[in-house]
Amino acid sequence: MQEHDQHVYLGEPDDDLIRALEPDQLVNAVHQPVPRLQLSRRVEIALWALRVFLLVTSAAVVYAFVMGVVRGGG
Amino acid sequence: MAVKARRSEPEPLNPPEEPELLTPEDLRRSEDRQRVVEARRRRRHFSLLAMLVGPGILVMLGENDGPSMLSYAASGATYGIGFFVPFILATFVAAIVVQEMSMRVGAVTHRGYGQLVFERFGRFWGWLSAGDLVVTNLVTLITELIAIRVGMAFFGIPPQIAVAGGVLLVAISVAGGRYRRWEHVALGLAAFNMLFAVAAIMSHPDPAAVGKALLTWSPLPSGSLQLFLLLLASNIGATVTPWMLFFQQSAVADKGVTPRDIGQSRADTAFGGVLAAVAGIGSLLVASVLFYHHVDPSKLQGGAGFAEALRPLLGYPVAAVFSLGLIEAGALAMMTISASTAYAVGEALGGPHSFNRKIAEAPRFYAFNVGISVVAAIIVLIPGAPLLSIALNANLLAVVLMPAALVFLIMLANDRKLMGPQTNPRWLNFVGGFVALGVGLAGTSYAFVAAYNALTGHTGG
Repeated sequence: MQEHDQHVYLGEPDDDLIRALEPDQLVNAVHQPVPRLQLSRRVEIALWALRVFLLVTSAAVVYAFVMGVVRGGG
Repeated sequence: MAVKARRSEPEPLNPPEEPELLTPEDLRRSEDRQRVVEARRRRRHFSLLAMLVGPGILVMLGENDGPSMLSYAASGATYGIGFFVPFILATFVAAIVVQEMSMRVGAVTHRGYGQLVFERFGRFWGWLSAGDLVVTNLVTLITELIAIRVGMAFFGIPPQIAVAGGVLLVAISVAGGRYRRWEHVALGLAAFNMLFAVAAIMSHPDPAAVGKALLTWSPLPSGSLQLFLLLLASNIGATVTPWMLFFQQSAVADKGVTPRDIGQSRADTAFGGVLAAVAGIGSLLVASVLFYHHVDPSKLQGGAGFAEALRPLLGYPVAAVFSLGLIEAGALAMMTISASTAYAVGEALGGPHSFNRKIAEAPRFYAFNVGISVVAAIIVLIPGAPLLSIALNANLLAVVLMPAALVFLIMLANDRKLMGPQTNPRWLNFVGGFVALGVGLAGTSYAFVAAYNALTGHTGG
């Protein structure tokens, strides 16, 4: 049993109240995962390249930050 | 109980197999939604708009946080009224474009950004996105507490009380088990972001100079390239950051916004952007007084800060309003950024993650919400921690990591299976791609110039 099912409402909710929600908006529906997207090889490579680039850039920012602290600029 | 899908909307992604299986979260959300349905049925347009505003205003004013307002102030103090006035306006236009996508994806899918990245692109990319967010949010929360601390120090309040107050605000605001209640508390606090506009009016800026700057983007900044790049990147990081995507999409889903509400939610986002731009430019205008009185802003960083520097030039009332604004900026951002962390972690781990749950129903969601603030508070109170350096680098880290988050958002907004007729038009992809490129270039330029200067020992000042 999923965690959200442990708190199921047991009374009789007002129909008007429930009609205010769309069927795919209910917690039960939102917890059912959408199917995984099949990424093309080109997109996979592009995402990886972006990730590696951002890691290098982040490392540059962190390096500048650490050097600033070490040199007492912090 | 079944509701027919409207022709203009995509088919429900996952119609529930057992529609009668309702959680308390559904019931609480449906109470709020019933008011929306009723207002729409009775054609009460203003009531409808009033009920649907929230996530857009909160995300925009939440991003007008402590380090952001200090970035705008630093721009004004360094260059006066000129290039950065229209630049701030332009960054908010970019923010509105990006956040509109985030809102639309949330309204159509009823899922948060983190959840969709996990489900659509897999756990690897999902965890990377969530990891980026938690790291940048922790660093940003530290800067919010610094802003609260600096703002309260102006009124003589000790740092321990200031920091404890920030954490207490987050803890109190989450108690209640209703998204609507949390949103009302946050919106009430957000109104005080306009203190920066009040301070700007009190400082009597030259309307002709403001008008000229807006029309001509001049005078252009001169002097150090590294300083210009730092302020450029900081101003971008003050407007467009990853937590905003996570927050607005999750908040839209938590509020229960549907595709029929996209028009009102667009207005919410645009209105939030305009208010935030006014407050941001207000901060710049107040601090521009320092530029015209030849006060070196780099000296302020080691001193008592902008408010203390403004006091002899503009008087105690303006400095006090500026300090109160800083406290508000830090406090609101603590609420929204903690919430974005809790949403993201909840979506990653898969448990209940909604303000429409009581604390006992979603203990992990609330634990992360308050827990990350507590961790930030502990770091801020460590004696000798490099607080100033952390504050200066917080926006920068967000800028550097933003392109990855933006790429996933644009891919989600173009996912026809998810978005149906609400898929991005081509022109919006062009604008979104341009924003991602601009943010990436600004972050990268500063990162490598700063790293080069750190390697060679240049101050770059």
